[in-house]
Amino acid sequence: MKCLLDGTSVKVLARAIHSLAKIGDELHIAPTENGLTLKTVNASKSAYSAFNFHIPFFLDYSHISENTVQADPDDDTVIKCKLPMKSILSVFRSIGSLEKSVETCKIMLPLLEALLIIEFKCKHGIVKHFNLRYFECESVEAEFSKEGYPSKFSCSSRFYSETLLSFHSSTQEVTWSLAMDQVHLSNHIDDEIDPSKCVRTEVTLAKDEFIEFNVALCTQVTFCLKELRAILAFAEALKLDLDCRMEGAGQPVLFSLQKEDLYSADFLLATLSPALDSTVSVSSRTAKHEVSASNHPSPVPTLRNKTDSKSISHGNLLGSRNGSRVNLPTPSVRQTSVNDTPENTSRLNSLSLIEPHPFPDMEVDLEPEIQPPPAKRARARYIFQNCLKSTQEFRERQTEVFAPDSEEDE
Amino acid sequence: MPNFSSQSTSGDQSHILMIRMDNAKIISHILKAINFKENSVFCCTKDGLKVTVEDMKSVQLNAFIEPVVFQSYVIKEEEIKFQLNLTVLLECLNVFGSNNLQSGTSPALKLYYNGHGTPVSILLEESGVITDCKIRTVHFDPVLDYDFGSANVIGRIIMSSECLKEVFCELDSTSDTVQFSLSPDSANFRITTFGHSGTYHVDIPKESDVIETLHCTSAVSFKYKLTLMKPSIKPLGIAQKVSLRIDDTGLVCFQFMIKVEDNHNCYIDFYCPADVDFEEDE
Repeated sequence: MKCLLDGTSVKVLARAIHSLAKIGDELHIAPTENGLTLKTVNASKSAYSAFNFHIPFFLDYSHISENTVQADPDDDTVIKCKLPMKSILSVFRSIGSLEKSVETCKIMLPLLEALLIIEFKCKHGIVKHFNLRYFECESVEAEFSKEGYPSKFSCSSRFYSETLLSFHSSTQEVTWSLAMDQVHLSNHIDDEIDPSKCVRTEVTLAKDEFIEFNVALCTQVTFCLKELRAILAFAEALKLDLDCRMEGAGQPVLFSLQKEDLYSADFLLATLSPALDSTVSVSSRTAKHEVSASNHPSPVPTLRNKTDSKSISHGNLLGSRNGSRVNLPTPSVRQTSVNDTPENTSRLNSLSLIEPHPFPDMEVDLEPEIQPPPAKRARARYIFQNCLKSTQEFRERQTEVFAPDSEEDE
Repeated sequence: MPNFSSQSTSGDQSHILMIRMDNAKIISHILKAINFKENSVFCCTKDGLKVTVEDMKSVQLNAFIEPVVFQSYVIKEEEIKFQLNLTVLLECLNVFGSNNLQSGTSPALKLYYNGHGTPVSILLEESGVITDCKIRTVHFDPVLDYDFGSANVIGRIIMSSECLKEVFCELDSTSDTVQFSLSPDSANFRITTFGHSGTYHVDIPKESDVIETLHCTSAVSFKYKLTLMKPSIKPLGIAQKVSLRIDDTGLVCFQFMIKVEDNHNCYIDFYCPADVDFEEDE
């Protein structure tokens, strides 16, 4: 692989790498005929992100490695590799100084040397040359399609950021409740936290705020903010719009962005599945049938208690952008009854990723990780009832945790 | 203009060294750049003031301040040497605040020393407020005398210090050593690091507008401990130009030219020997 970029593209590339570095520890580089793909997966495999830089993004691009005798683009001439984020970050550390000094950047994966070579041609004729060691490996793939998501909405990344500003910086997960005409965001309260001691934040975004709003299925999903913040850091710096596709709790959400024909990026984030306790991955299968009776939950969270004044909903002064406006809800909060949150243990699903190289049997092993979709918007109360019924057999299998809780990733 | 002329009384007679300057920031600006260790040796001769700070008997920073920089420089002996804590001296000099060279008011300074065993006295005056400090001196330890004969110099570069500073600041800190390479064939000054994630080179071509001159008589390639190179970054930050010389044993000497008021220049020298284990490192 060999490519040449100009100064502005280098800046975009550096921002993409910074964003990926906030998600995963390893950067996968996969050159293809259509461009260069940079990917990462976080340690718990609950977030996958991929940037695709298309050919017009480069001044010059060739996905076949040099020094090949035959120009036949069979697989052997294309090197796919991964390298630690730390080493690639040491090259793209300071976006400011890259912007100031770099004129062109050449990235090469020569076939003969096992090195990723990055060459910056800077001002004053200075040439910076980085030879990075890498691991050769098949690139990680996530199976997903942009089709088939019942709900899709998009708005500017600035708008998402402003919305997230309402949440306290320590907020780790946010629950997105989709309704026909609005999106309702609230911070997810962990069962380990005393519900009476935490701040609850809720923000409602009306349909008009979005560039595109198409919710076919009212649902409620919860996922980590950390990765979303990493995505927004990139998208906001480049003033891009962000599409969001959602299906339901336990099913991954897909964020994607696109800049003309230059580059695009997809971020697949696992969502929490409401479950009984830490045995979800097994129990959710059973839970599905039981809960499926409650097929038609109302689009608005039912467990609301407006008279509960103990918890706080803190709105935020969100600057209005282009006349857009964030509807702050009246101080309304969920009931903090013991029956609700403490028992409603949730767990972050793992994404199903195809990573063929390390273990040949991986694909088989991964099967149980692909969790059956838990019932859409299963109400906590309902699960709680389940919990009371028969859980012993599930408890015995508590060791089968396929991915650690996302909180431990920090 | 604040000055101490009115205070110059009979006490002056016993001072073997008396320095007076209207802007004490100049001296603190220079000394701050060499303050990578606390101990400093002052050596005053009629040619000026030389302050030496060294570490591990290998790296050495010397600041030279010529007598013309001072409003008055009176020395009654051939050579006066004393050692004092540079950090303390800088604290005293910045007692009125340590804003940068250009901005704000600047205190006037009078410094005198009465000979071995006596403290260094400093009088600072700013808008009528006077501070009187006495800093204990200690018996000085001999400092290394790098005999950097120009005959042995095999490589010499004069370049913009800003550019070199940028390169130095971006050096891969996971590398133990940094290598400087020059050769008569390739017209490049190459700086190489050997970090955990790989080898990084920075090539600065001879034709570059940041390089004033680049000479080398034979191929030069020496490694230096990166940690020992660190003290050179501060002087690089305040200098206008830097001259880099490497002799045949690998000893490198950076000379930083620092412009101070009235078109006077002060100089800081930095010496660092090559990494002796360089062959085994390969």
